[in-house]
Amino acid sequence: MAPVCITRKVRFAAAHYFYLPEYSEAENFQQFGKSANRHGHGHNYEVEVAVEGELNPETGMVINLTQLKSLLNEEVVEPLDFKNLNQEVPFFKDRLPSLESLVLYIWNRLEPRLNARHLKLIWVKIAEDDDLYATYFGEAINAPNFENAP
Amino acid sequence: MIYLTRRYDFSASHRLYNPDFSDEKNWAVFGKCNNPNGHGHNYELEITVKGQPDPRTGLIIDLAEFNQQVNSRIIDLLDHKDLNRDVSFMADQIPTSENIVIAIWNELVPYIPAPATLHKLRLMESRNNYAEYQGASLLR
Repeated sequence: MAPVCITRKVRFAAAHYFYLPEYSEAENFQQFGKSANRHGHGHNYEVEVAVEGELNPETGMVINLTQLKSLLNEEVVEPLDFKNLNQEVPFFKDRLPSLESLVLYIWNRLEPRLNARHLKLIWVKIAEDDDLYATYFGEAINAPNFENAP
Repeated sequence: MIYLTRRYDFSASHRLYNPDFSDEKNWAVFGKCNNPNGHGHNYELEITVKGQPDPRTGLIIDLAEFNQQVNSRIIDLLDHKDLNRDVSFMADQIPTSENIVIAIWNELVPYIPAPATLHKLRLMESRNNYAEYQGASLLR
């Protein structure tokens, strides 16, 4: 049976800001613009994950989508939704909560859990609005089917 | 390697025709796009850059600098312009989505803030049609 890829989207809302303590206030605003405001600002993030696996002939499913939703809630929504990413998520203690960092955070949490179920995480995409998003395919393969990805 | 994509809009007019063709041939090849009075689109441009996140900032690119380069070198030159007559980097080219996306790539590629590099462009002339380009060096 050929593998099939399935994509699911989840959303979360969170606050963040870009500020490096080793820079002065002026340097931070020069580097990061209005994102340097330490009171924070927020986004409605949208996360898409693409999961590949063998089709189970008895169920016609790669993974039960309700179970995939629960997994995404546990690993993505619950730790991030309605949080201040800088202050409340340990992963961002020593790195800025950029889209690039967030896509790695999500990949690192989901990939082992999907592997344990013999499923392969193909890509993760996170958008902070309609105009800006980051995509990660892992380091094993260099963007194998990027043309077909979002 | 992380891929970061940013979306831009511009509106422009164009006419598809080849001055070396007869009128009949231009109508036959380009159809209504050959209307001598031109027509226009709301274009959408998606620019994807790639790179490794800086270990301290977690960013692959200075987005403000990138945005400024894209706006000043591409969007400001295309928005509310006639692609046949107003855009120097489109001179002597038929302004199809294919030619426009290649021309944008060539204009933009030297100005992507290092160490990020340009990975892919997608130019949508409508919801139904888009052209993608990843540079001439990519063999596939």
